[in-house]
Amino acid sequence: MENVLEVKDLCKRYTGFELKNVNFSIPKGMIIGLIGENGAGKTTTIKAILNIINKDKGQVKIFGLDLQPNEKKIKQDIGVVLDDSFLSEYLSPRSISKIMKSFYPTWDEKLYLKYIEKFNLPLDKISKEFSSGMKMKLKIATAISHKPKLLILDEPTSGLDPVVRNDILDIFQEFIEDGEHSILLSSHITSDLEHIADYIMFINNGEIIFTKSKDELIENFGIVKCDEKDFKRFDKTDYVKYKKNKYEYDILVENKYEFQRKYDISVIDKPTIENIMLIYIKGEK
Amino acid sequence: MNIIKGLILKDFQTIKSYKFTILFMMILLVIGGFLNYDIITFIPITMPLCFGMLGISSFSYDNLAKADKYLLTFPINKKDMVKARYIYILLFTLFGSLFGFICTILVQLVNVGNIDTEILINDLSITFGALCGINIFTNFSNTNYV
Repeated sequence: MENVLEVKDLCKRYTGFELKNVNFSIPKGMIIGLIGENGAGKTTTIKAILNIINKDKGQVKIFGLDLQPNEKKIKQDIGVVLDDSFLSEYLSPRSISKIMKSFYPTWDEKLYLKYIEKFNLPLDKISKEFSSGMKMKLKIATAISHKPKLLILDEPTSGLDPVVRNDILDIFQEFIEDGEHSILLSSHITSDLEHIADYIMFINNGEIIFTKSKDELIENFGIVKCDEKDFKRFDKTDYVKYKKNKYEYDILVENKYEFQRKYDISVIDKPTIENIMLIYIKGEK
Repeated sequence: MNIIKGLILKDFQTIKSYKFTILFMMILLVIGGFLNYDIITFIPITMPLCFGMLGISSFSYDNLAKADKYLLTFPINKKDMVKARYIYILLFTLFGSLFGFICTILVQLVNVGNIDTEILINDLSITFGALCGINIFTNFSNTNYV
């Protein structure tokens, strides 16, 4: 399958934080969800991919081309939402459209106005007067109206109510429907990723812990709930991590069917992505 | 060229709500000139500096929104951003100088009935000074990019 984005051995070191050899790729037509706790390196990864911050080491290929020598050409076909930065708050949605026309020959004003109307955003009000949800909707409308082939979104659903979040996820789903478009999306709201992502990439302390298909995660991973006596009979190599609660143990296993067979356990819970993330971060081995 | 145009347009759009402030400032200076002719030396200094400072304020709005990072996701590079800032401030200061020039001529015609070329030559040298000063400020605000 053709990859739209390939990241190899990406490294970036700050005082107190390091992004360590990040490797992943995004196949055409897929949505990759990037999960991890605050400060895990999600935004740094996205900024290093886009060359907003200088990487220390590594290679980024987008649409099969090296980013650095082809930056302008590549960025014509990328739409970006950054969590912490956007155009000045003293611009109205109408002014933003006028500005974006100069940067993107493919800017579709009709499509932009359609989104502005769909999101109930006032066209001539400066965005300083918008709520945080409205600002996010404006960022999303701006990112997708030049018809990019790849969307890179940093926390695009934060600050939005469930109804709008659902509408936005539907827009993302429509975006990739033709199989030609792809999305890299970071989010804290793991239920959103369960809703739309094809692959889940988990980052912790600047390191990619795993990249797996969502179906594989939900189907094969399992959470065994048991008491201390049961826990003691499990071999360490058979589970990923465990979390000790007040009265029981939550054990994350990578292949629940094999575990079930080996230890003759009747029930293994289906985990949510949030469960997996929590046990990975908080759990012990 | 479209990229530079877009960046300049972004800065103009950011501070377009100040257009009435500029107009008010001009009217106030001309009225001041009618009432007290001595103010005539003040007009060509005030106009380009005020216009230039107003131009620079759009950079502050960009800094508040961390727009420089977002702009780097566009098909532009840091060089384009620095170039656009210089052109934008140059244009703004020149507009200011032009308005200062027009206001000076207007005040002279109304108060003394003719145009004193010496004052106009002084205006030009002040304009040059204002351009240099404003460009130094632009240089400081561009240090974010380089």
